[in-house]
Amino acid sequence: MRTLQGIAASPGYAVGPVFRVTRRAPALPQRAIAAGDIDAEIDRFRRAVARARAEIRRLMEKLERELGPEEARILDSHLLILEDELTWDRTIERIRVEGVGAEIAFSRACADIAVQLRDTRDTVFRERVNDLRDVEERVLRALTGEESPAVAGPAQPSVVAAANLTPSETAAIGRVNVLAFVTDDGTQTSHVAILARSLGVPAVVGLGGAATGLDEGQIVAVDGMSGEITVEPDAAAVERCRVLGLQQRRVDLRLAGLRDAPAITPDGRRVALLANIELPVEVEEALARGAEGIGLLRTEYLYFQHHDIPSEEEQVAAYADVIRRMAGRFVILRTLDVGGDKVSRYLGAKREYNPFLGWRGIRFCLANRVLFKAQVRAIYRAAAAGPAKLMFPMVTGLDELRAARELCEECRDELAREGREHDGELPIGIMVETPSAAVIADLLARECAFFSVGTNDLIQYTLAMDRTNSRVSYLYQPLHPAVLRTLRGVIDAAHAAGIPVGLCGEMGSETRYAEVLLGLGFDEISMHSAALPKIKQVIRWTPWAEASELVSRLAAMGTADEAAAHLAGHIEQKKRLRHYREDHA
Amino acid sequence: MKETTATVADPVGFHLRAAGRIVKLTKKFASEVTIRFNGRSANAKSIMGLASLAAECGSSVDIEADGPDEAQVLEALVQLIAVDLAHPEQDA
Repeated sequence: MRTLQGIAASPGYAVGPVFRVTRRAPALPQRAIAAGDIDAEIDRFRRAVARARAEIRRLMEKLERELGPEEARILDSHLLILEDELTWDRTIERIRVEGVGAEIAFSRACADIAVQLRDTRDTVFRERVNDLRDVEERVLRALTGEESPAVAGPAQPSVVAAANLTPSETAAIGRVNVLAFVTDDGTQTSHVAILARSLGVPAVVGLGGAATGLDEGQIVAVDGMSGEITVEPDAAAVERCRVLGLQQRRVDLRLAGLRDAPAITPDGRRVALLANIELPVEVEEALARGAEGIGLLRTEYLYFQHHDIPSEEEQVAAYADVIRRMAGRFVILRTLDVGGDKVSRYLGAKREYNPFLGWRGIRFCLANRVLFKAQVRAIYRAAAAGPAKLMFPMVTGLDELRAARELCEECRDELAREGREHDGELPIGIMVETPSAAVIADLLARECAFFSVGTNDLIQYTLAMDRTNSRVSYLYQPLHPAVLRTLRGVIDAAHAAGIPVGLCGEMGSETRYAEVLLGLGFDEISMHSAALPKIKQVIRWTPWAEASELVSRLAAMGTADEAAAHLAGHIEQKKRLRHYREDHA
Repeated sequence: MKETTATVADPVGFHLRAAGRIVKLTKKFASEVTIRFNGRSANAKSIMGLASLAAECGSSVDIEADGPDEAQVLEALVQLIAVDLAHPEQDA
């Protein structure tokens, strides 16, 4: 028995055999083809391509069914690669001229193209090599009669282990028999992590090389709460995992009872609890956890997954899908927020010395009008499907807000002229995540319909600390007096202007801050769906008056540590009191 | 044989999807179509060939068509490369 430590990416516990997903290089038999067999060999190649094409089509259908049409589009270009003269014609030529088998001929044809692609100086084009390799392996497997490994999921309940998993792979694996996901790469926001959370299965990512180091069929215990994996667990470890799983299900069940209960304090203050999501599949989980709306729909996913710009139509379909599924609950769509830690080279963003202070968010969008307009038009059109709001990231001043709003007007006028269905009354708001926006919140509040405070960035900008630099990460202090005062200022400015203000940072998912956010006066809190029931429980237990007093005390503290200690003491005391009441009820 | 020049309108140049649109369009015509950029040339009916041209937005590419419908294919292709690529919504 040994243990491995990774990043806890999706909660839950599971014990089961390992199912390895590997991108094993397919067999490449060296055969000479006799002159008389050349036509038969070419025929064999044609049949293999036909099989590969059928396989891609099936996978596209599956993707479309399980993750929506925009996911299926990933494989569109694979079909074209299959029929490309550079692969198709050259392979046939090599079989004829060089007398080599179809496997070698096709593989060499692909290698030639890969060299050309690698030669181009742009990374976007170099990434195309991966698509090419994907197609190459599929055809080679079709030739040798091997089944493409990713097409089939595990045959018995298993823990899926891989170096990393692309969306097409996770879709191909499906959800049947998947007990948990463990991967070498990845973070909490990786595709596999998000998918695992939405499917409700545990996941541990970022295991270094340890996930691929596991043997097929080896028994592992996965703890999705701590990120620990026990390889070949003994009876006690298996039992521990089982008990923890049962306990978690019991807590989940109790909290699930709160799904339809309103988030309202004992003294009648109502707070809307919303979900942060990225993929349409996450809607189900959000609704199951009782989300009253989507407080943040990230749209970067559409742009990153394909390394390609999604068309307006594709975006309309994806956004409208989420809006429709939310069935009358509102959805806040944030326009593309690239740059910072989300660099996408194909979009022309470059690595910068100071990416968080660089070309990102609204700055990037205003500089890429064609791309920005396609998205804004798509949001206006999708909003015809139900209540929606549009939100700009990284606004620092009125000029940006006005420029973006002007572009919105332009899109709206165009859509009206074209006679396309859209929501002409779409409310437009901003993320408040820069200190400048916080300082001039009163000015900004007059010109937008709502605020959503992005605490992840606001905290790092306010405290001048880089979230991604581990040496200064201790400075990430949500209870720093500067942060609390800033938040209070923003909320007061919003309320003075009569607009609602929400929060959509990580801080919203942490139970210990729920009372603080309530006391500060947020109208909405948006978070990971998984956190929703717990936060609701806190709101339903805590009188607003008490929370406001707590915040006043915290804001008066000189340091973040003092405030944190005070908050911890407060929570401990309340917990004891609650237990006492429960025991004596 | 006919020749012309077009400026790539797609914001990111000949990425894979743009290349795919060019291939789908030119395959509807009988003529041979070649696109040249920066000393390289590629068959406009080959997605991998076009992708390896790596023509960026704003760069100018030479297009040559040879065949019975060369005038029509050139006209359609210039419209696609110089205009339609900038508008993702017209993807068909």
